[in-house]
Amino acid sequence: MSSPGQFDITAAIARIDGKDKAAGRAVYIGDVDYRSALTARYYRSPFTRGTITKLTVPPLPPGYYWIDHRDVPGHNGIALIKTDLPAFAVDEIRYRGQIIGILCGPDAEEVDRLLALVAVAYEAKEAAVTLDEGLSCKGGAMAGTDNIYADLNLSHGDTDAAFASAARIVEGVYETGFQEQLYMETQGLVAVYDPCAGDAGGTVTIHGSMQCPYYVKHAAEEVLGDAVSVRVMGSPMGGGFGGKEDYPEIMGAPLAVAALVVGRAEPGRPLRMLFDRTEDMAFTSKRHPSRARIRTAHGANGELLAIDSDILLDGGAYETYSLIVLMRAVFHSTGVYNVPSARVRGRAVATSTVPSGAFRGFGAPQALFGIEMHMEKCARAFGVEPLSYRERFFLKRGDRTVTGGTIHETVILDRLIARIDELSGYRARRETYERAQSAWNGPAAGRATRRGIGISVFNHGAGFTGDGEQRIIKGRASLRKRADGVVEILTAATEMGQGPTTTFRKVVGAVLGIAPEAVVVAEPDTGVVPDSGPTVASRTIMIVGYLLQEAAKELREIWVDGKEQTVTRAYEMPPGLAWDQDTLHGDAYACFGWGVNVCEVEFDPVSYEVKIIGAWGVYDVGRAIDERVVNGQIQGGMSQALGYAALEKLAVDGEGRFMQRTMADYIVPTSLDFPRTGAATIDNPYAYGPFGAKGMGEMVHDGGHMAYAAAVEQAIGKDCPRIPLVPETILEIVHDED
Amino acid sequence: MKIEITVNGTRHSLEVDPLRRLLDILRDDLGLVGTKEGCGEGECGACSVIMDGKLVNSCLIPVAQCENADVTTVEGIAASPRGEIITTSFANMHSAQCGFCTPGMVMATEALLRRNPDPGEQEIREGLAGNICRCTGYDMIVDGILDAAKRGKGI
Amino acid sequence: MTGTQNPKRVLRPLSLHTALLWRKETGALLFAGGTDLMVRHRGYTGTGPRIDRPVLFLDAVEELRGIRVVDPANDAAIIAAPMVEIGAGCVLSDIESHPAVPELLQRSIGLIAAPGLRNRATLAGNICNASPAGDSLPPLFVLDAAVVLESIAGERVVPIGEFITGPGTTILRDDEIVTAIRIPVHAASSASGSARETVYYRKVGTRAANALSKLSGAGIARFGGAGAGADAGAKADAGAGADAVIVDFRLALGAVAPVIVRVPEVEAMVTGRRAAELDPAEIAEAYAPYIRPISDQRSTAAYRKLVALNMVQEFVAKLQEKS
Repeated sequence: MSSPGQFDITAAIARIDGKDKAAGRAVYIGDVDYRSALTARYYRSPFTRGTITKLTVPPLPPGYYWIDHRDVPGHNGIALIKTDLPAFAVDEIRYRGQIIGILCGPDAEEVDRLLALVAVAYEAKEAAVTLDEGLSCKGGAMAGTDNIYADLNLSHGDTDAAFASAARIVEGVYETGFQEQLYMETQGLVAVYDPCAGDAGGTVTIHGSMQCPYYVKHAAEEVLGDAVSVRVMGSPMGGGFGGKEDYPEIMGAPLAVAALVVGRAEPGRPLRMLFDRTEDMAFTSKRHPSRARIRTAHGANGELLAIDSDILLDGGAYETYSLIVLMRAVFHSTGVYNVPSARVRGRAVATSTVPSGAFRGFGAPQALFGIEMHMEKCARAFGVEPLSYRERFFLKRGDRTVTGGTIHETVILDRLIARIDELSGYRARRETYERAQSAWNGPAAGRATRRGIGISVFNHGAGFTGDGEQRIIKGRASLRKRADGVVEILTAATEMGQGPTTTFRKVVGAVLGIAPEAVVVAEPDTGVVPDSGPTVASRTIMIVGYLLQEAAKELREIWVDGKEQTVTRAYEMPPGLAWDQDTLHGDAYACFGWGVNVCEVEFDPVSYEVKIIGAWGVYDVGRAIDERVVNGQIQGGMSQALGYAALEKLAVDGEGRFMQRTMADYIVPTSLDFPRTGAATIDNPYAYGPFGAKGMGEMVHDGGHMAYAAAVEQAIGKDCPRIPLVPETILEIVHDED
Repeated sequence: MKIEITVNGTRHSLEVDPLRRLLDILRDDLGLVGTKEGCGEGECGACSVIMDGKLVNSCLIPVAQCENADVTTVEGIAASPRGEIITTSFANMHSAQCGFCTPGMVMATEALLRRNPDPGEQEIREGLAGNICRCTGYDMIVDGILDAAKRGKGI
Repeated sequence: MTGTQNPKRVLRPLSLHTALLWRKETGALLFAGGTDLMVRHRGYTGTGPRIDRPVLFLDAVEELRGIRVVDPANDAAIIAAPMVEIGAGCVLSDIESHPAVPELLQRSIGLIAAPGLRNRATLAGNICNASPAGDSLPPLFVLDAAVVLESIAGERVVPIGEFITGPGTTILRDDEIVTAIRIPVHAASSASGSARETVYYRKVGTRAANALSKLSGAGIARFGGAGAGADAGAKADAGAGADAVIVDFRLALGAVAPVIVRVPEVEAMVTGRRAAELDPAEIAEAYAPYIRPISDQRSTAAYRKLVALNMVQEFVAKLQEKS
């Protein structure tokens, strides 16, 4: 067997699932033949806020069932940090589309017909549907007494003194909108209760499109109580992006109750719930909108002395994950900058909209937009080129983070920047376009297109925030060598396109000297695999992959031909880290990934449309486990970030309903919208990641939107402090002073 | 209604509700689940098939309009010599990440290569304009098609 | 899985005559490409469309296919001048690539939706849908297109501006079917880039491809030449040069009002003048009262209005560049 160091883990291999996927042989949950399954559909609240006074369910033919809160044997709450979201609404409704009941039966069209006959009478209440309405508790507070789910505060240094003595203060307000994950495969789950399966009491089995099988298991156990066992199996997902992190629990727990009810009458009868795109778009969790007011205190030469940030996230109608999204937002609020003193406040606000949830970046894209656009504004205030302004304040190894931890790794931003400048010509083009800027006087200035180029610099804390890995997840991964020598990987990690079914095999294969294609990956089945933790937070290759690397090393040492052997490794916190969850003080993350993005644009003053003519992303991901997997993530992440900035408008109306309801109206990029993304990485190995790899799946989505906005700012000569920057918004910005 | 339809070279005689979508006939009645539903409104291309030589969205076609039609799905293409090249190139170039859009991309690729076996990047992107991918940003799909065109010279 | 709905009444005739008979008998829903109908009537995933009327499929009627130039000299059709006749059953991809189709129309059709949809959707469907945002409509308006409506009782030919009366409404009767679209050949002369004619088309979509229109504009202008109503100062041959007089000026704007905006009064203001003496802003101002867009999930009224006026100026400026 070869030793790990000699193997070029970065060299790309063919994706091991690639051919099956291209040939249409990959089986997603909607493809599994469940001919005997009942179609299950949600009955959702038709009103935004208030109290149900009467529920009318039509008479149901035999074989058709209605399930609601009265059928919940355990606790009627979705286990997602807090359990404030009821699995089935009892009488209080906080958002339009809130789940009230399930109707299921053998014929999909009959279920549809019956569903239309379910009705509720209710007393409506005034609803807060914007951040400001939520803050002012319109209609009365929905959450606590002040509609604030979480209020986090960080501070160090004497910010007041810094502002009092500052030569200059720069202030700005930065906003980001909702974003829909728009995975190409909509949410789908199948649940079945078999009273004879597993332990006495039987087993509810849930199968489907989900990022976190063990989370779905816990959510189902919460509502089912102790009477039955739960087993969950993750299917290959047609995309996740965080949208299948929390939502499958919200979707699966009530479905588990329904499966139990049906299974008691018809043992082993599956319930199949596959969302129509319109239902998925209207009611599943979206990215938290944000608003950040940022003030910075400066010395006479632009020195960054202090920052005072106030960040608001729109959490929607129930808390779900808002606390941890807010934590990540707050922890990324100072970006890559070493700020002597800081005061950061973050609040997640309740509104009567769909509860916001996980989406790639998880609070970081919002916070980083704020700090990066603010640094652009500071550069303008001091009349200097924005990259050279930023470079003065970059964090270095040993510097203090905003939570009072330490940057433990060597920061190679200078090398990333040099590389991206090589690829994009940023510095020269920035200057050229700056010199071409004449005063922009609106349409009278002529019809010639105007160009701009923008840069963003950012980092992303890899892995779970704070002490989640050691305190909550306690992940374990196993390798099982069969007697015939075939090695099987057993983890709860799920494949949503990000490639662990290829990269895990590469890691294990490299350590053991086996071809990756010969390594087997077990289905993420909670009945079989250990809980290696959720497939989130860019932790899969770094945390779980490391466990597999260490397990493989151990297996290599103890390998005995012809004998079945299993090695299990449990997560151990790397040495030298300290974190206090109560004070939010210390190393919020074990390490950071670092990135630089450049975006070049051409603005058309006739239509206010912006054409993106160049995009580049250069990253420190520690080590690329497969160059093509990593570059594919960079390109896809950039595309989503540019979409977030330029196309993907998602607004709510006065009733908290999303106004963009179909794929015709929610605009994601096509093959013709953006140019190729120039992608590159520079190695900077991390000791506690496999072959030096760090988490990267979210980082590659953290920077494109502010590089775009910065480029547009240069092109039009106006501040663009909010996204999406669709042409209508650019028009408003351009004409704001008229 | 009785419909005669050829799918991947096999003739079928079906007794079906004429307004059912071709997509559902393929998936539910014929078990050809490679063709996917991504949106049900003709926006995403995941349901793409080739019907009577043309790339179409099967979620928008009632089976009544498929009488005597000749339909090819991703299963049919994958089994062909050109399909073997396309699927191998897609695996090598990482054209599929989550894979859900990929059958539709393969169909669009087949339609494109039938028209022009050696397309340039712009023509490829135009050929894919009706197929949405959320994972890749399209670059590696274009790479996969360029690779297939190169490897498939002469087919 | 055949569902529990009542059997549908559907017909998919091979002949136009049968189609007309059935249409008269049942007032059935006309279904050609169906790319809009299947979305409008869609049910939940995995189920078919919800249509509670009889459906008349037109896609198998061969007589409705075909694109030809119809000449009064040697065609049975009673027409005054040569026409390009596009059968109502023609799909967009066939029309886009046919040499007899005016380039202006080809360009707008090429930007509708995406390749797969263009292989099914019909021009007739785009017209009968009568969406204010219909991409083919501004070009059809400036090309003076007309629709041929047939019933069992006979035929009538209606200019497109009279056929569409409001968003989603046409004067198509319950017993009629659109069988063809006719475009006068003179209006269709189309080498854009010729010194004598300038063609303008611009679609502002929600993205670069596979996009609905926020607004669009189509324009044709011709410069003075022999037989084209030139005034005494115009050159007889090329029509280019600073002295060139605009002898024909047409502009139509889409998705900025309940119906397509084409204003003969403003066109008359421009006709007969030299391109060099036009003031683009003045002409845009003249269009302003007719541009009354709405705000919706795709765009805002303010955006549509301002960009529409910019597009008018862009067209006029293009004429000035040529001259």
